[in-house]
Amino acid sequence: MLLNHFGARSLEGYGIERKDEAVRAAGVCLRYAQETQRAAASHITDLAYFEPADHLVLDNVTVRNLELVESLAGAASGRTLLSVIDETTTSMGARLLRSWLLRPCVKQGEVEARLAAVQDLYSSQITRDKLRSLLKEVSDLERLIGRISFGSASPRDMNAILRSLYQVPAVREVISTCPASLLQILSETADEVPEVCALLVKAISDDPPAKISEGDTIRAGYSSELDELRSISRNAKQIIATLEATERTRSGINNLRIKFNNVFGYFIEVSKGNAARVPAEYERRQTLTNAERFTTPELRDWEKKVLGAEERIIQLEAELFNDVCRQVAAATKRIQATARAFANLDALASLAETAVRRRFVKPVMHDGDEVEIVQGRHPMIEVFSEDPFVPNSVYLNNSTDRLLVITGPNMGGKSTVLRQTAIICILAQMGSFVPAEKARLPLLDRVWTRVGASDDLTRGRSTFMVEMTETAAILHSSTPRSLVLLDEIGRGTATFDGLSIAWAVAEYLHDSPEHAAKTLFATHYHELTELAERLPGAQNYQITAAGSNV
Amino acid sequence: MMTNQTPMLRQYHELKQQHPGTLLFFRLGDFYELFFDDAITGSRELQITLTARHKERGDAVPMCGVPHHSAASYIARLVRKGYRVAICEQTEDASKTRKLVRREVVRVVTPGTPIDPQLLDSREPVYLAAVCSSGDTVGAAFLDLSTGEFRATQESGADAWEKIRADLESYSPRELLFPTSLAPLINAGLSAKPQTTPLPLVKAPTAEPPPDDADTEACSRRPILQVFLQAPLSTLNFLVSR
Repeated sequence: MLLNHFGARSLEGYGIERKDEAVRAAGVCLRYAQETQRAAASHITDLAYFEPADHLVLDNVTVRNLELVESLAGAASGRTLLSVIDETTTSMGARLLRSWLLRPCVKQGEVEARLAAVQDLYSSQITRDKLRSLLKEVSDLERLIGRISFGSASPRDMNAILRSLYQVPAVREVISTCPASLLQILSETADEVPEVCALLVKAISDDPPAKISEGDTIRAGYSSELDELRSISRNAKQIIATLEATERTRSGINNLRIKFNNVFGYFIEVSKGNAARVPAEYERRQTLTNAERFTTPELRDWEKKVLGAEERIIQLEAELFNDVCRQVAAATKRIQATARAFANLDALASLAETAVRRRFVKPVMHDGDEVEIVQGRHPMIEVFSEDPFVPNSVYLNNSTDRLLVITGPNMGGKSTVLRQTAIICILAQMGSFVPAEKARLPLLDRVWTRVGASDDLTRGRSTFMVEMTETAAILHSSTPRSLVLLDEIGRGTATFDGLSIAWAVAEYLHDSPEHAAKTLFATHYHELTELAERLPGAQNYQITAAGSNV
Repeated sequence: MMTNQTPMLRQYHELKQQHPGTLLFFRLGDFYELFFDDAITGSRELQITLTARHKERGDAVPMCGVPHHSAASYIARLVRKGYRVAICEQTEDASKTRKLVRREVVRVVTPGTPIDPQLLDSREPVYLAAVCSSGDTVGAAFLDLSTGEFRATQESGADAWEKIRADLESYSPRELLFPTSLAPLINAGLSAKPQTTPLPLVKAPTAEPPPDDADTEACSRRPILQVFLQAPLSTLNFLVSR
């Protein structure tokens, strides 16, 4: 079924040939989509195979607790990481940026490529501003193409496509000065599809309506049949005046009028007094108190032509428009390529703009295990809080500093240090600059989070159960390339039990060669500072109040 | 009961049978009407008046409706609440036929397959997802119908489900298709947002075989051979999350 849809002979080109379950799942999706839409969904032109390990894994707990796309304070508050870095000007760019954030890269080459592109846009304000202002003229090409495929595109949509494609040459020129290879590639893949542009310019009027039924969609000169019909309709007024004048002269009745209503159509009206003087071939239609209404064969003929013309105009415009849609749809893949290029450029420009506005720096990615953040900041708290933000430096590796025990007063910022460390790593791996004075970072495979006490009461589990289940997952599956954030573990239960569990977890993570992830452990249990003395890989950090940092 | 029904209601029941698990918007002139249980649901969810048809005959049929030109927002409201809406149109000119006008379901609007801008947030994608498994391999696919973005993955081994689960959470599909056999795993595993009640099992109209072998109503209309793999799709549940 997938073969049929893509018109391919094998799925090899999609990298999915022997992946039976993936293919099956894909087939199910496609079939369901087609069944519910009763349409072929031909804008689905590609199936991309990916491995979960192709990106930095962030599960729901992590995404939620780090407030990446949704704030813990509730959906309306908007104090999320995405809101801080989102300076996109197109919806496509916004969606792409969001997916970069939720599934950051894990391969050094990809991260470096994005960072280099962001660097180019970061260094030149002129280029960046020009690019962003061009992108403002670009509409949501991805969804527009989808609408065309389902036959629900409007005349205005066509104009939006035209305007968007028109930006390609200018965008290419702006990017031409940037050395980064990713930018060069994007510039090359953007296709202005000149045939589609030419067609749309010829066919669609300058200011088309929202709905095809409103008329005035097709430009004059595109179809001679349409032009003729339009002239009949347009000249209706002129013709009435002429006819009226003619009849007045013929009958000698000066106050003869030709009028129109929805019931009778066009008719000739004369006052009661003049009714007797009308020519013989007038056929009486209606008698009113003060007037008589007539029609003639000539008037009826002409009426049929005019009204017929108007009906036919609407029909013809719809036919012509559908044909234009069909031709545009034939270029779906090319337009999608352009859409993708624009989306990527928009997302990269957004990261560059953010870096400038928020004073981010370019992280140095390496293939070792060290996390070195100098004067790191929490990007959301920095932006949304009224108090000045106190930066903190953090150092982790997989040997001497693989477990950081962070103690200190409540509300003192322990959680913040945890979160900002993870956020900085995530930003770096999505190709963004980071809020710090300096950052040297490894490529993580997963970020695990156990933060805060949460009650999953809706599913009948107590805080303790939730914590333990989530912690167990970490102990089971983390790797030395993972980053683990543990915040106040053991809070949901009696002090002594909590302390024991916390100690056991920290020790396990430290000792296990398979699972020894870099771990940041924030705790109110001061006893855990002993860990640093006992375990060779553990270090103590103490958050002290206002003014001094460790 | 069926023999006493008017031809139109018989037509209605036939269409309903072909599209289980949906609210059937039945086009009657200028209105879309909901009947029977659909009417009760629709009246409650959309806050529109519940009336009845054939009150005089003693077997009143509950009914409620919306005008055709403003139906889109009502449909959007229902879909946002997690319902699937089957839109049934009159496919021939009513004035040109003296008997029962022909009707067909032209679209089923579901939470995971929206193309109406009212159901889309421009800054967020909307994914339809499917999961299936065989042995220790779990496969998953994600489709954003509004843009055509389509991806698939699979994992094998002890951690397979864990890894796929993280992906499911990451893409946050609004609608998930899966075979009954995976139901316990999915219900237990997907955390985060509460789920609406799972919609009724989709069974083929002619099905007699045990649930695990029954095909979806979609499959029953076309031969299974068209699916790329030989193994037939087992029954699919439509589970709506969020």
